[in-house]
Amino acid sequence: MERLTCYKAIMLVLGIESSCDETGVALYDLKAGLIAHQLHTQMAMHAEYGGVVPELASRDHIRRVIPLTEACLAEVGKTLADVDAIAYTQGPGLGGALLVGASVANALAFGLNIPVIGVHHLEGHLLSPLLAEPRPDFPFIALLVSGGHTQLMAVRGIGQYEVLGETLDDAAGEAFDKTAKLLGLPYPGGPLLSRLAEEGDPTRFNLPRPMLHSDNLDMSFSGLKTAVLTLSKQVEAEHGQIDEQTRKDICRAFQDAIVEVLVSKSLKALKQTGMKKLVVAGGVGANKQLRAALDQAAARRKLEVFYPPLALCTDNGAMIAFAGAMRLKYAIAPGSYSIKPRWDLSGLPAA
Amino acid sequence: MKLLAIDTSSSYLSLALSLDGEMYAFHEEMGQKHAERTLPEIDSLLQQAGIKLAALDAIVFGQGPGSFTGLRIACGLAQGLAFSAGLPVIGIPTLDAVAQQSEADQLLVCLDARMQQVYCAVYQTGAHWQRQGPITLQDPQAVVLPEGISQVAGDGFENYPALLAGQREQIRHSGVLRADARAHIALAQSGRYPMQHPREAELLYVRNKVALTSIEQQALKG
Repeated sequence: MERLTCYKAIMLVLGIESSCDETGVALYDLKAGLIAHQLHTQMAMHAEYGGVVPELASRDHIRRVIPLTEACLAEVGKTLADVDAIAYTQGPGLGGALLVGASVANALAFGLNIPVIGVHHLEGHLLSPLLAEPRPDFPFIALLVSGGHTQLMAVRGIGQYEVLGETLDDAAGEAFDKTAKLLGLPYPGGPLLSRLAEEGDPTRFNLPRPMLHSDNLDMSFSGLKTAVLTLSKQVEAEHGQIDEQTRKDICRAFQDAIVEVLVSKSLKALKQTGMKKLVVAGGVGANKQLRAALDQAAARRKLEVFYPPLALCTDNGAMIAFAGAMRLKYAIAPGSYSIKPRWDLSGLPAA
Repeated sequence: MKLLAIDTSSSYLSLALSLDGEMYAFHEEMGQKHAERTLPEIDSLLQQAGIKLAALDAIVFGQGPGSFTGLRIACGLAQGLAFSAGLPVIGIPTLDAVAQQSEADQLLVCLDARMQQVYCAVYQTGAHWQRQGPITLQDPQAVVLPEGISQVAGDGFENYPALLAGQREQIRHSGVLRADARAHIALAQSGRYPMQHPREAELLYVRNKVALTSIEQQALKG
């Protein structure tokens, strides 16, 4: 790849995210920070289908990128001529969806004669807590927890990521959604399950904590939904049906199990590496009970926990603009582009 | 008019740049390399013609039907190029661009829609050039040759022997198999297709049922 030396100093980076079911566009200014971000979620569209339909996701992205870009520029009174570089999610994610962002980003950059940066979606999430105040310094442990990923990583710098452990089956967010579906909650049930859990009795049911005491940092969540199914059947056999409160109690038992595993594995990762800072990113990072449990555990041990701003927990363009701004060294001339639906984070070069 | 046309609806990458009479084109089988090759080839056409993007009047794109992913590459690129240069876009249906290349007065166009189906449309060509009705999605064996039409075009005939199987001797294939960006340019120049802001660019998928809703999935399970 051709490195760029002929462009003017880069100040303003436009970021475009389109890897799954959210279209996000943002402007990150190297001096002023995040100055604009716009998001369109397709959640309602996919709800009817009980999950994300990749083709429909792509069809929606292509209709959103330009309007969201216009809205970002309008938000801060800028024009495209003010943009110095364009960052876009190159992977991992849904191929067709990624291709939309990649195509628009490269064509915009080509027309504006500015460089592009292909960003790793998970690096975007990983670095998103750096958009909050106070921002954590390297090194730290990152708990990346979303509908697609559950990983613990040692982060020693931009691009210096070591996967310490990860889920062997379902991602934590996926377990939330699948369990919610099983309990008859409407798609996407994860966040609703969490709200119901808040009103559940934590002492009524007890579900297993898979791999809690394994001697590594790997996790497993697919067994939990089977445990919930078994529990539900038991309750139904005893009481004929599951009443509202019982459903809340089951939600609570499920959430308690997931939270305990995530907290315990995060603490273990900190202990193992001797690091003192934990950074939480990804959609499940918005979970209140997880945040409370991590904060409490950290306070007791004189550790610090950092979260992205709540609005930036889901997929968004801000984290892509920011990660792109951190990787200007890897900016290239727009032209030939490709996407990486599967892309290993630990293979990224240091910046 | 100065126009750049992009079509990536098939396995071909088809580009054309027209400058008030002069035409520069690129039309090659590309497999799945459209993302890698399109912008570099556009760059090369602009350089050959010695013109800057911003000096064009509009960006024309093949709006479908065709390969879903391919359509979005052309549309995304057209949107990005047009938006960056402050230009409008013009979308041209793929079958129109096939019909435009044929010389018959009346024509049935059938393009391979994959999944054992074809996209079809009937055209009046020549001075009163017009598509007769919408583009439809049909099973090959269900396609009916409209009365008075003996000319056909498109790769549907080559790929589906069942298409007008009993009437092959009565019809003549024009030899045109797919869209060509030069045809997009000719149609865009006709002024019959609207110029739009890139935010309004719309694709024409024709095949719009791409997944089953939860209710339909349940019904299937019985």
